[in-house]
Formats: sequence, C-alpha cells, structure tokens
Amino acid sequence: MATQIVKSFTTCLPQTGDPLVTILLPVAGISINLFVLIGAGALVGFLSGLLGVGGGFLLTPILMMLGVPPTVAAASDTNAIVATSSSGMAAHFRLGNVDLKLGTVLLLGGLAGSAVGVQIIKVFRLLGNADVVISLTYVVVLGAIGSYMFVESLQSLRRGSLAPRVSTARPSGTLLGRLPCQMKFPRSGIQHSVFVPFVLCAMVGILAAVMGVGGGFIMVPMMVYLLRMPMHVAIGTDLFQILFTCAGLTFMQATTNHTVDLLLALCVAAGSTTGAQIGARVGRLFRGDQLKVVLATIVLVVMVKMAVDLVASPANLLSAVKGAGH
Amino acid sequence: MVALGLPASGRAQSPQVTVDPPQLRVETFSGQQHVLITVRVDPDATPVVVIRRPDAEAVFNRKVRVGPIWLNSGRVHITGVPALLLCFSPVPVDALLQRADIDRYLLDARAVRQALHVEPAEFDAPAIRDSYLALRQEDESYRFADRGSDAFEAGEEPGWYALRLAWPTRAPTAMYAVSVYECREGRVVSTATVPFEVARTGLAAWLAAQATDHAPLYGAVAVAVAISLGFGIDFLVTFFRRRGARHGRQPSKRSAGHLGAH
Repeated sequence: MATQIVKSFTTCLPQTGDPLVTILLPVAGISINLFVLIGAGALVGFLSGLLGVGGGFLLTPILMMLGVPPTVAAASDTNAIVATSSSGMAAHFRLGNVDLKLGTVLLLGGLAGSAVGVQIIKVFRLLGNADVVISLTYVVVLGAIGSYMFVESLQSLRRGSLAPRVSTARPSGTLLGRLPCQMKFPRSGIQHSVFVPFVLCAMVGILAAVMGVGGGFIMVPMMVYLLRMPMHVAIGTDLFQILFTCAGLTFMQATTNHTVDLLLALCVAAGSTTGAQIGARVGRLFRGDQLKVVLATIVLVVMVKMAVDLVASPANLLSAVKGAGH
Repeated sequence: MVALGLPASGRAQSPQVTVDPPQLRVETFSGQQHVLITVRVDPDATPVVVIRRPDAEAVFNRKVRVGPIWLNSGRVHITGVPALLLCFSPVPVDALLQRADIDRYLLDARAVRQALHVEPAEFDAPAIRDSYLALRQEDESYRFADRGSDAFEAGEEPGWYALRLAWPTRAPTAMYAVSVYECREGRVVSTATVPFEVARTGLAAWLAAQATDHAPLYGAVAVAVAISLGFGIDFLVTFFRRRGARHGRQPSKRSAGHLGAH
C-alpha cells in the first residue's frame, strides 16, 4: 500500500466570495461584480432620464473598462438600450409625447443613414484615414450643437421664459417651405417636407454608424432646433425610433456575431431603467432651459474630450479593436 | 488549515504540481473563485509556478501621429506569446535563473517583450512591444513575479510550497496549463505541467450554448426580454405612482417628460 505524503499549510482554500456579488457573464466569459454593472446602468439611465442622452457613447466604454470584450460590450449595450428606451417610450406614449408619423420617417431616415454610413466608413478605411475623419466630424458637429444649445438656453434663462420657443408655423417663405412632399405632423405641431426629417435623420444615422453610438445627443437637439419640435415630443419620438433601431441591431448582432450577452444586458438594463425613472423625477425639479444648459454642457465636455484625445499623446499606442474579442 | 496530499512511494519524483480544484466550474453566481496550487520540488531547489493560456493572435489598432493629431492607422497582429501568463515564485525570478532560461520559458516581461511577434513587420517597434505588455498587465492577463510572490507559502517540510490564488475574474473560461519549474543553480532542471480547465456550468453554460447554437431564437428572446423589462419597470412605476396619488399625492404629467433617449 502506497504511503501518503501529507503536507499541511496554513494557507487554505478560502470560501468563495458572496455568490450574489459576482456574476459570470455567459457570452463575455468573464465574471464581474453585479453591483458595479447595475451601478453603471443606473448612472447611464439617470442621465438618460434627466437629459435624454447617455446610451452607447457612455455605456460601451464603461463596460470595456470593466473588462468586457469590445464586441460583447457594444452588442449587449444595444440590448440594454432596448429596455431603457421601451420604458421611456411607454411613459412618453401615455403622455402623448410620441409622434408616430414623424418617428417613422426618422426611423427610415436613420436606417438609410446607417446603411450609407457603413459604406462611407468602408471607403475611408480603404483610404486609411477613417478615424481622423470621424473624430473631426464629431468634434465639429458636437461643438456646433453644444455651443448653439448652450448660448440659446442661457439667453432663454436670462429672458426668464418658461416655455420653449417653438415655431409651429409652416416654413412657406423659406427654402425648406418650397421643398416638395410637405407633410403635417400634428403631434409635433410642425410641417415640413418629408425629406427634411428624413435627410437630417439620415445624417445622424451616418454619424451614429461610423461612431458606433445611438446618436441621441445629436438627434434630440436637432429635432428641437432644426425641426422645431417641442422638447418633450422630441425626446419621446427619439425614443420611439431608438427602440426599433436598437431592437434590430440586437437581433443582427445576436445572429451574425453571437455577441449579445443577455445577462450582461439585463443587469445593465435593471440599473438603467430604474435610473431613468429616478432621473425623470429629478428632472421635474428643473426647468426645460436649465436642463438644456446641462445637456449642452455635457455635449461640449464630450466634444472637448474628443478634441483633447486627438492631440494629446496617448498613454498606449495600441487600442482595442471593436471587431475583435480577446 | 488544510491537509493536502500527494501519493508517493518512497521519494516522490519531483517536481510535482496539483491544482485544487482540478477543474474550476464557474456558475452564474459562483462569486470570486480561488485555486490552491501545491508544488513539490527538491529541497535544494526553488519552484516557479506559471499559469498559461495557449497562444492566440491579438489584434489592436495602432495609433500614429499625423501633424498635431493622433489617429488609428492600421491593425497590429501580435502572436507568439500566451494569451494569459501568470508567473509566481517565492523569490524574484532573476535571482533564481539565468537570463537564458528566463527567456526560454517566458518568465518575465523582458522575455515576453523579446518573444512576441509583431505583424506587419514595419509596425514592429519597441514602443509597440511596450504598449502590448502594458495593456496585458493592465487587464491582468499578464502577471510577473518580479519581486517574488507573497501568495507563496513554504511548507514545514523542505521542497513543499503552496500558492493560493484568487482566480482572475477577467480570465475567460478556457483550458489553461499550470506548470512548475524546478530551479537550481540558475537553471531550470525539471518541469511538470498539468491541465487546468475553467468551464462554465449551469445557466451560464446553457445561455452561452443558446447564443451560438440557436442564435436567431436567442436574439429574438433577448429583444423580447429587454422590451418586457422596460415596459415592466414602467408599469411598476406607474402603478406605484397612481397608488401614491390615491393616498393624497397628485401624479404629475411632467413626471415622464424627461425620460430619455440615447
């Protein structure tokens, strides 16, 4: 009979940590603290509820920072946005803040823009300067929108006007008013050629496609300032089109790349839907113009960060590829 | 205090390595997992324990400066080094081994830096190699026992060591190899390796299988669940708000006025 060499150590195998704290993400294949995931979702949802922004451009980098592979982070983030936007859209729909007619046009424009954006980025990638074009475009667009919004909101605040300045008159005397296929959008109280919202949304779709974000923080100001929609209807209608866009994207990511992590999305969505409700309630404490100033400030901060990132020496010469896991 | 044993007849062949548990089965709510690696080397030798995940190509964007702007220009493919490399030793490796053996077994950052292969070759530069190492150490895929490992504990009997390791939560489920290098007089005199599998089980394994085997159904369910969650939360909030209103507080029409977009 073989003898047994037995050796004792003071080191022992400890009990596993609190099993409800760390969660294994099945598709990402890594374990992450559950409360960190819910907290990240809640933060993003709070901004979403408060200001109508804060999806892809914020959440995907946070998830990547937590160690989620970029492809899984982007796809699961899209799935979580489906939950947040459906929660928000339901509330807005009840309040009559969703313009289904305009939302459909915007949705079609967004889809067309996304398709064009994918092709444009392919061309720029072939030319080898895609990223600089994208970043510069983004900086310019964000700078223009943020600055205009900031100045306009400050002027509104100084005037002390409580109601948003929204022109519902038909732009008959303008170039836009002479465009064909004029269409009334009663819910929004505006009239435009169908091409106006379609083209504007297509442009946002192109930006969203090349930057890999939802584009809400461009879309909402655009609807308010260019289409002259009321702020609340703009947010509700934006949510409508985001819900359909992200639902389609989630399905495509799941079927083609297999990168949707349902548990990750649910954890984030649990935080973000709750955070959105809290943000909405906090938002009631502020006037629309005050919220616009905050939104404009966030847009400008994102723009400045992107501009600094373009010129500052990076900490690392290598960065993760969104199309490759690890 | 735990008693661990290795079968032996007379003088056991060294080195020896055991991993407890031999297979890490990770469930959805397993929590932080720990492994205990026990090694035995000759009493006059010192062990170096290495956990590796097989080599895999890593792809990154390369940043270059064009005028005042930094931009991604081209993809860098890195091969020839493990996807995960965790090294542990009771004393610093360079105090144990000559450079040739450290390089041969990839036991420190310098060795890995030399061994990695960068493609395309024109992108190969010291800064790229340093950047790769920094990224891997940042995401905890690489860990080197440059200053020795506190987690190592020498046993009462010479030649016995135990290494307690909180399994890195970012390390993906995969097959790993745990090796022990018996070091004496500046050289690796013997090695032993055991496989170590980290596998999903339970709900996590089932969901991962569905995501690949039944992708369209999985995608549709993911969308349906997300929509249900969104509408469910909205329903609950509305329900409690109305209930609150019945108790004297008026629901506000502005309450959902800022629910956001993305």
